[in-house]
Amino acid sequence: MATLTTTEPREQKKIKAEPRPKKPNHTAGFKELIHWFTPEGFREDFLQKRLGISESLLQTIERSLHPKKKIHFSAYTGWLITFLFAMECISGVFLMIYYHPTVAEAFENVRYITNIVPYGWLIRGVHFWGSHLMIGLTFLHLLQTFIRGGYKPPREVTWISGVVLLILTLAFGLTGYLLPWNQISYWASTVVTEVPMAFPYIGHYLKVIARGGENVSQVTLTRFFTMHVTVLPALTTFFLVVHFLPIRNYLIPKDLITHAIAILLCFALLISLATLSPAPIHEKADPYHTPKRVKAEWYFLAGQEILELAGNLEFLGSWAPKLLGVLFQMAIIALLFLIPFIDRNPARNPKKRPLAIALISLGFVCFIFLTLFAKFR
Amino acid sequence: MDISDTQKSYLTTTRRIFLNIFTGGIIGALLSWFLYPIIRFLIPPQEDSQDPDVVQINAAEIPTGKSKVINYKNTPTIVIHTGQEVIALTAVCTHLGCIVQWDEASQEIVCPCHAAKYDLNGNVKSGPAPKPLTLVKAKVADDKILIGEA
Repeated sequence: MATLTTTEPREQKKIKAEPRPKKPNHTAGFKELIHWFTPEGFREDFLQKRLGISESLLQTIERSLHPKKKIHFSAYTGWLITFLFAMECISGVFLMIYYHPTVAEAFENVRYITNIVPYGWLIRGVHFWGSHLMIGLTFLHLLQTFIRGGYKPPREVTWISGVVLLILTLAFGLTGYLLPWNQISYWASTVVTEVPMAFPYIGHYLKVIARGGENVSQVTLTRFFTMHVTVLPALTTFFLVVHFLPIRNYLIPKDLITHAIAILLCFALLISLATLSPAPIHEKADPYHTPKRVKAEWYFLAGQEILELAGNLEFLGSWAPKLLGVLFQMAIIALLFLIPFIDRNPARNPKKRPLAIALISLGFVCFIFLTLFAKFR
Repeated sequence: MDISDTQKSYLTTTRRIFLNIFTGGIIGALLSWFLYPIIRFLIPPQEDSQDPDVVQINAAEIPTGKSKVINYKNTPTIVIHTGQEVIALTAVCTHLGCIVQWDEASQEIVCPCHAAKYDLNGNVKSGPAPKPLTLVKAKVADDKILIGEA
C-alpha cells in the first residue's frame, strides 16, 4: 500500500507529460472501402494485398478474358461437371429442409415439395436433372480425356482420381435414387443391392451391410441418405481437390468468357429441363408388390444388360452367370484405373495411338448399344 | 482527404459511373430473379388450420388449486382452477416466449425464465414482461371445462 501511494503522483505526471493521442480518423476506413470499388483499387488493394493473388495470376486471368484463340466448346466438360456438382449441393441442401428420410414420410415429403411448396418443383427438378446431366457429362469427360491422352504421364493422379470421381458420381445416383421412396426407386434399389450376392461366401454379408438387413427397409433408407448427404459429398470434395491439384497451374482456362457462357448455357438447359419435364413422383413404395419391369436408371442400364447377357453362361454352372457378369464389370473399372500404366505409348495425338482409340471407341459404342438395347427391349 | 488522380478521374467520369450503375442494376436484377424462388421456397406454405374453436377437457383433470397447459388454436394455453372459477390465459410469456406456470401458494402466474409475474387477469405484477397475458374464454359445464366458449 505504501509503495502505491508514493508512486501515484509520479504516474500522474507521466500521463500529463505524454502528448494527447491523435483522434483516429474514422472516415478513412470508408474511403478505403470505396477505393476497393475503383478498378485500380480493386486490383492492387483488394485482389493483390487483401486476397494475396499474384500479379502473374491476374495477368493470366486478364489474358483469358480477352482470348485470341478460336472459340470451341469441346474441352469444357470438366468445369461444367464442377458447376453441376455445386448446383447439386445447393439444391440438395434446399431439399433437405422439407425432406425426412423415414419410410412413413419420405414419399409424402417429396410429393409435398413437388406439389405444394412454392418453387419446390423447380428445386427438385434442378436436383433431378442436374444429376442426369452430371453423370452424362462425366462419361463424356472420360471419353474426351482418353482421346486427348490425358491419362499419360505426368497426369496419372488426375486420371485415377477422375475414375474415383466417376464411381462416386454413380454412387450418388444409386443412393439418391432410393430417397423418394417410390415403387421404381424401391425395387431398383432392391435389384442393385442384390448384385453382391453374386460373390460366393461374402456375398450375403455385402448385401446385409448395404441394406442393413435382409430387405430394403427404413435401415436402408437411413444408410443411403447418410451416404448421400455426408460421406459422398465429403469424399467427392476431397477427390476433386486431388483431381485439380496436379493441374492447378492450368486451371484458368485460356478463354474464361466462353467458359462462363458454357456454364450459363448449361444452367439454362438445367432450368429448361426442370420446367418442361418435371421430376416424376410415381407411386409410393410397396414392399409386397413388385412392378412389372424394374429397370435401373439409364446410367446403370448397360451394367444391368451385361448381367442379363451373362445369363447365357448358365452351361458353366449355376454360379457362373452372376459372378462372371459382376467380375467382368469390375475388370472394366480396374482397367480404367490401370490404363496410365498399361498404355506406355508416349504419343498423345489420337492419330498415333490407333489401338487405344479403337479400344475406347469399341467400349463406348458397346456402352451406348447396351444402354439402348436395355432401354427399348 | 487526398485522393489520387485516377480516383478523381474515376469519380468525375459520368459515363463510367453510368455504365457501372447500369451493369450493377442488371446483375442485381438477375440476382433477385434467382433469389425470389429460393426465398419463396424457404417460406413454408400455410396449412389449413383444423383446430376446433372450442376445446373440451374433463374437469377432473384439473383439481382445485391446480392448473394445466393445453393446446388451444395452436397456442399453449394455461387453464387454472382457482376454487371459485376456472380461468384460461395464453401461456406464452410476453417477455421472451417461455411457458408460464401457476403458483398456487402466492396465487400468481410466474414465468420460470426471468420471473415475470402476472395476476389472474393476466396483468403484469412484476418482472420484465412488457404486455399482459391474453384472457381466453372458459366455462364449466357439468363435468367438462370448455375453452373458447363463455
